Amino acid sequence: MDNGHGYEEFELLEDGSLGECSTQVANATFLTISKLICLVVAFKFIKHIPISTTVRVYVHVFASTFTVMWFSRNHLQSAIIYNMFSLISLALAIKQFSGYIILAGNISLLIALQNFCRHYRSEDYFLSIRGILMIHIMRLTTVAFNLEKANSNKFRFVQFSSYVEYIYFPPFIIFGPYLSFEQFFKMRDKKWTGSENELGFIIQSLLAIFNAITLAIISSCHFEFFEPSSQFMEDALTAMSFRFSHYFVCLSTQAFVLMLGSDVVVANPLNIEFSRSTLQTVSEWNKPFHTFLHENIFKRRLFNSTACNVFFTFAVSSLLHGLDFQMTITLLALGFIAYSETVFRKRLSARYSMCVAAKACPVRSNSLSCKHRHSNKTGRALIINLFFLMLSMYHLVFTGMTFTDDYSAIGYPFDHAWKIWGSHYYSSFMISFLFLALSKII
Amino acid sequence: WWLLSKTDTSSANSGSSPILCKNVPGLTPQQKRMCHENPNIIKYLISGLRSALHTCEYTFQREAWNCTLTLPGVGTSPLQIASRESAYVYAISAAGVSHSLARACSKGLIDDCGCGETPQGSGSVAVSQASSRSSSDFVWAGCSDNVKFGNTFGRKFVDQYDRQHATEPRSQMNLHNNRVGRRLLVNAMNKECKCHGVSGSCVTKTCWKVMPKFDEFASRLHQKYQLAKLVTNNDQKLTVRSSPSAGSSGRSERFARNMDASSKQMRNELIYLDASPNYCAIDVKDRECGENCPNICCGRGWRTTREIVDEPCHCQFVWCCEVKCKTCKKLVERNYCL
Repeated sequence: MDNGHGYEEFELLEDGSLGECSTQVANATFLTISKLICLVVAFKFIKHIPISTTVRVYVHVFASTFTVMWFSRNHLQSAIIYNMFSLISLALAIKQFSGYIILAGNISLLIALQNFCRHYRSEDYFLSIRGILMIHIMRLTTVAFNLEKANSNKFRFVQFSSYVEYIYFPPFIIFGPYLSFEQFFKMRDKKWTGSENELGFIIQSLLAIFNAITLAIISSCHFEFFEPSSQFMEDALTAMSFRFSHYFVCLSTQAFVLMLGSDVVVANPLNIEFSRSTLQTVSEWNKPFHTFLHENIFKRRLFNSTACNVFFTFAVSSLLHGLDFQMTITLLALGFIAYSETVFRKRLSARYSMCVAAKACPVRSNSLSCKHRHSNKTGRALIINLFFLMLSMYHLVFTGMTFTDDYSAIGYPFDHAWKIWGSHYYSSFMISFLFLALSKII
Repeated sequence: WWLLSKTDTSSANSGSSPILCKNVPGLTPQQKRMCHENPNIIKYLISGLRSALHTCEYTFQREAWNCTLTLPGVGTSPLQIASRESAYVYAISAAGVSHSLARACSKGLIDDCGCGETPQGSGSVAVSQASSRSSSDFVWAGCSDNVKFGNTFGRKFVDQYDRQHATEPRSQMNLHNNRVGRRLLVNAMNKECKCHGVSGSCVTKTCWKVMPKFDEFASRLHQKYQLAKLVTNNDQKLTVRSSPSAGSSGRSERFARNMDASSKQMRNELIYLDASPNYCAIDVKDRECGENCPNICCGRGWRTTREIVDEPCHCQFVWCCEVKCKTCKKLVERNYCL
């Protein structure tokens, strides 16, 4: 019948699907980023206007509330929730409560909110504002620690206004980044450095945005770029998609930071993709987050053993995500993997005097200050480091492959990660146990 | 009978399709040509067909007819009778083929096709419309399952035989049911999203359309099977008598009008021409019948065996990260037809 004619019809359907996917994602992500860029430009401008502190505080609070409403679904509700967190924390901080209590209080509040959302069957709403609240909590905790440190009983408005400005800085509310107090004020107080310099920053940040959108496209249309030939490839692609989405967020925030004239590094994707060790992966994953956790949790050494401190740090990090089982076990798994690898490599490098520890030997005055017999460049150390590089690439696949798209917007079921890890025979855990055992033997 | 023979061979050898195309009896010359020219597509077509029939068996495991297509007892295969069972089989296989092809396309497994269309057309206009309307909830963008390709290729291939005999009522029925299967599949498509935000949160998301899980779809189709409509052949047109089930509610009975099977109301309903054969003629000996033994065993009685099975129980999550279970002995009753 109409065979010959119709046969051509479906072959015509093929064209443009890659282009279509890419254009759609590019448009969608650019739309989001351009809104944020507007905020960045506006606040770069406002910084230079001489207005009174009181007005400045009001501008920041209102603009932030507006931003939260702009980017979230239940506008008014989100704004109220956002301000509720900061009001409670600021009140407690002024009453000289310790930073830990405020952190714990905020986390409980977050979990309460999560249960509240679950009760009303809107887990997806919680997921949509979780990221915003996470960074918010981190800023509030930083303020609390700072007030604790300042230890002044006298309440001064100037000081208070600077805290408010720090908490309510609209360009950083949605995607972050989290900046420490010092980093933030270094950025804020930066003077105009001449048009050539500024132009350089702008070109750098435009480059970062271009990279961010490219990565977002690959993240969303990955099956168009790569053809998975096996289950392993498919898992690797899922993990890649998750990582690239993270890089999209990191690089776009990196662009904002650059535009505002700061040199804070958010994340360098290449350092994560080709990382020396899992320790490097977790610390490079999101540097500001890492700094926060490292400075405020890990370094304060609540426990005597390093293992416990590592565990506690990762536990706090997972609690900042609310009670998210999948996130919790992924983070704890990462903590365990990184810890056992670090222990093993430390032992290895000491026993055989090689530069193979999880952290590279520090560079001092352009030469490696390596006290090992076999430096970085000897063949043996090179091969071992290459092996660990491959291994940490595998760990990235292992820990990332559970973040499949089917549940990403509604929350993952309890046994989701276990099932997927089971299909890889829990290999990363096995390797880590092996490392722990070996480090006792050698 | 191409569908049947197709499945027989596909379960035997799956990989080598060029040889397979020649060996399958009952394919029309055009089907053979398509099969020969698109070996890669046919691979997914066959796997879709197989998963459709597998799902069919699973769905019907608690009923008298357990989706067998070859019956020693009845004399002819159930598909040759234009019953509601064959309507179901046609619909689910057409949908299965589309399902498998559409998935394969969006995963980039077939060279000839890629992502499907995301809703509201494509390009920047639709995106900005969607985003301005639903604010920042989500934006349609990404790689949808290519149901259009699946349906087009499926239609070209599966409907081939019946389209050549489109004047026969049986072929009309098959075509209709195939179409219903595909249409229901399109209607059942869900939204899946990719989240962008700090640490796996969902501040912004881009969403695309995906197929439902196939067993969910099959149970939806099973409801349609139970509501399937009997049609009669009038002047080369299939018409529905005002449905017999509506007879109980007095009003509609008065208008005993005939409805065209291709009319709007019937577009999502399965149709059949003949009553089902007596599936009790099938040899049901030793078939497991679960809870529904009186029906499945057709009054021939059943026996119950009791076994003691080891099962994991009292599972506890041990921090971290282990699930510890005890093993319990459990008495399991299984019923088998005599």
